[in-house]
Amino acid sequence: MRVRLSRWLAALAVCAMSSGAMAQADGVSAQPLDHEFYFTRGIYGLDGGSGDDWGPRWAVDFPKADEQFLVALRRLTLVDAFESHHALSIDDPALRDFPLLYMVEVDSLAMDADQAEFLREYLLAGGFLVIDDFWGSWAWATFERQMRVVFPEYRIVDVPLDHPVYHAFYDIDTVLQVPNVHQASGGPTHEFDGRVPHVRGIFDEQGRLMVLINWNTDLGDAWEWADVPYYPLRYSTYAYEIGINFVVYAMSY
Amino acid sequence: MLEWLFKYDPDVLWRGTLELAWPAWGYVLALGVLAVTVAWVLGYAHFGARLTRSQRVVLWGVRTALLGLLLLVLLRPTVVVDTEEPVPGSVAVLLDDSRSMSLPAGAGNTRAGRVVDDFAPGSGRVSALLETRYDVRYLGFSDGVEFLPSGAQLSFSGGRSDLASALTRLLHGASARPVTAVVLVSDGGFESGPELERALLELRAAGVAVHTVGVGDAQGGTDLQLDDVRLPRSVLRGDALEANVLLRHQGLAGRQASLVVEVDSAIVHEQTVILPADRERLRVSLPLNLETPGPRELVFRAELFPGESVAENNELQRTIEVRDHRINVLHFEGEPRFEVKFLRRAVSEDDNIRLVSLVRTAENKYYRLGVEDGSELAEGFPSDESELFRYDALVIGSVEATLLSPDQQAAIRAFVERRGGGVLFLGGRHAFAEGGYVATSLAGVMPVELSPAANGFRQQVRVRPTPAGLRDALLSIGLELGMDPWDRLPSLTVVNPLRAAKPGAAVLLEGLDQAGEPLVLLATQRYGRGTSAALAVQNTWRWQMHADMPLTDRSHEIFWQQLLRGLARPAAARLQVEDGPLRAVPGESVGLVVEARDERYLPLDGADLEATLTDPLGRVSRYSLVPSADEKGVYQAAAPVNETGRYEWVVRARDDSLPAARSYVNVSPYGDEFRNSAFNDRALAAVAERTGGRYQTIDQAASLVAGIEQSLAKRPVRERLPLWDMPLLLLLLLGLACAEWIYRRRWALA
Repeated sequence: MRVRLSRWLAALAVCAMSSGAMAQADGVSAQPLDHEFYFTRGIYGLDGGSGDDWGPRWAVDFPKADEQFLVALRRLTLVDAFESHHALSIDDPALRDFPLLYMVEVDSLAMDADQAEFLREYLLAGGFLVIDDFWGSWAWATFERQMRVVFPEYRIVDVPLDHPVYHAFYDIDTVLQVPNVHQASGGPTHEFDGRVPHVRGIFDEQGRLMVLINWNTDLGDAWEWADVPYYPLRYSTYAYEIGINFVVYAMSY
Repeated sequence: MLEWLFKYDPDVLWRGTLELAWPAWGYVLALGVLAVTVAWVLGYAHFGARLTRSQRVVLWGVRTALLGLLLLVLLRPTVVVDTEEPVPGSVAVLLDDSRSMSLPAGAGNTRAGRVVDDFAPGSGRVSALLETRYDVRYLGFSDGVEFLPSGAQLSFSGGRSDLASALTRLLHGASARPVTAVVLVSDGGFESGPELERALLELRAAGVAVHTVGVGDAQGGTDLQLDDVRLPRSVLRGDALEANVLLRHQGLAGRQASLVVEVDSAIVHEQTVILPADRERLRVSLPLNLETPGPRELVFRAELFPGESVAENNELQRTIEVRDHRINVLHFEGEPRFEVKFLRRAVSEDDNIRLVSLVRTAENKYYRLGVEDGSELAEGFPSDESELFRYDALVIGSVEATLLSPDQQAAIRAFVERRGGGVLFLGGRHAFAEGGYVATSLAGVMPVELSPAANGFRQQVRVRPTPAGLRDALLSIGLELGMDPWDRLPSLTVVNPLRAAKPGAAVLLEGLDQAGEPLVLLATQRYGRGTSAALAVQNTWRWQMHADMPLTDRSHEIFWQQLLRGLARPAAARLQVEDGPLRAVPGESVGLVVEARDERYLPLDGADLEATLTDPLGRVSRYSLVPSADEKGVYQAAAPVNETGRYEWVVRARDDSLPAARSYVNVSPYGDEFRNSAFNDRALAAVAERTGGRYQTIDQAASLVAGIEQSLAKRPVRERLPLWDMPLLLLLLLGLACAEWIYRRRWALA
């Protein structure tokens, strides 16, 4: 009962947090956006199917990770980025005004047919989805099943290191496993059986990258905890670098 | 009677001034006369005892008057009159000898028959009238000009009516007597154009009036004809092409007519039009899309109505070269924007566009996309003209003016003005006035007026095409959908409120701000040899991404592909055919004018160019191109064409330093003759009006003489009219002598 209550409270809090963003998003047809770029986090599972004592799974590290990443993005690049968090439901039509979508903990993602179709159209129209922070083979299998519904015709493949996404702003030549804050100070960096980090993707017929999947790694934690002394610099540096690359790439290809 | 008495028209004498021819001896004579008069008066006084006082006065007065008159005659009085007289010269009668003169002229006669009846050299009715008053020369003109001796026959077989050449020959031809007036006898079916305009201006300047005589039946028959088809000589494969067809008709007002376009014998477009009032030109824009590279034969055909007087003018052929190369477009952004991504997506399916994107991602960091190798744009946006001139079109996005050095701005300006490239200034927070361009040289290139920066302006605006935009092939985004796509396109964000286009610019897209005030959203203008455009929206990607836009909608893609192709279209190659006929008749000499430019697109002198002309039978003739004496970098050649069919010119640099240029000429036995076969009294009246002459139909031609007389060039003349032999003076002398004699007899004084 306590868990269930906490879930509801968290869900309500998240709704309250995202309501501002949604109101803004709902109004975009009439009111122009103030910025070119919004780091948009995808909300899913509000029906109670996803979440635990930490709150809904989509909101893991939210909003601090997003806002700290935006500080770096705005400081290091010329991207005209909205400085605060921005979350939208993954089936909100307003999402089509935000061509980059960030989703985490996607082993809890359970889309219905309409949501899957909406996401498919979003990506085929030019949207770019970045997946982060899900670990192990079980999580992969769950996520893969969901993506097969979205794109039955496309395979998920590794993104080679010579792909522009690794070089759009910083040159990245190694894929690091970024641990969560609890495992960053020593010992194994993986969760479950996710020992090897992967950057995988789904490409469309023209070879354009639509979905970028960071599996067995937790970029969000590195952004979130970059301001604490014990979180290793190498992980947060890598997370910021590849995160900025994702954004610049998403605005270019 | 008065004129007999005064010897001249009294009005002329009244206008003139009297002069006396008074040589030196005149003074001696006058003194002598004075001495005689004194002696005579003294004599009268001496013998005055025999005369009464009144008799002395009368006799003295009569004799004095007699002597005075004699003195006046001896001094040779003259009236000086300033007047004008016609400039000596001849009247040239130009007779239309073209094939269209064989058409009916009403009353069972042909146009040619009417000309022969009235204007045949030496035998025509009106000719006889003219020949009695003037030195008349006759010339027949069609595709050439020929002097006609008396009794010469006209053939009426010419394939065209080249009036301009005929008039030029009259003006500049070697002749003992200059032409002082021209009589043009024609059906009005001559070719118009700059040459004719020039010739008419020269005639007017020389004071030579052209009196026109119309031969034809303004009311008779029905006819629909294709006047012309305006197409570029070459297009890029897949260009949204717009063929402008000019139609004219007689007797078919309000009727529907179908237009068909064939490409290589396959019908590619059909359209129905409603015909306007008689003889009014109708312009019809026909969309075309040519996908197969190489020379393509286009046939434009208008419906043939029953009973049309001329069937040959319902069809027109053109050859157009469809090129298959990639245009190079450079998109420069001063900051990362989604517009970069979606613009790249929009043109990615177009094999004829290579889009290079240069994005400043951080203060001193640039991201290059689509470059051919590591050296392309390695130093950022080019400052060097030759590097920038590798591209055919530029898109300058949200780039603050200070990011472009004076050299770079000058290079952009030269890119449009001299290179003939296209530049598009795209909306954004650092574009236009908001980007600090007001006081830059690039503001002069933009097709819009920049008002002071409106920082903080940010509105969502629905984009609508203007009437000019709806006609423009650039905006043909609805062609594939068969409906007006603009209503369903999502609104876009405007942060650069542009309120006015420059006077020479065309506004193609517009919108309204929240206050209802109009905004210029897309404007274009010619700038030098190229095109400049302004697109004052910052997120056309909404047309691709918005939830209301189905995935199948290609508006965004077509918009950008056509816009970039349109921008790059004027971008001239370094060797380009500038002029030369597209149609000809057998036996005609066809000229070719090409322009060669160096790497910086400056006129290239000293180029060693060779042209090959391949005739319809596949035979190849070679010609060297000769530099023009008037213009740097321009070369010319000319060759006769004798076969009917398609001729191909190919021009090359002998050292292969320039890309080859091509042009095509369609040779047909009719040429354009039947294109202008309808009786065109307006053209004839216009020629007369432009030169100070008069227009009349052939039925009124007898009044020509009066018209010519009035129009003949005059020169000022000072005439001296001697008065000493004026009958009035003789009568006065005799009268005075007789009066004295009668007076003396009356008083027995003599």
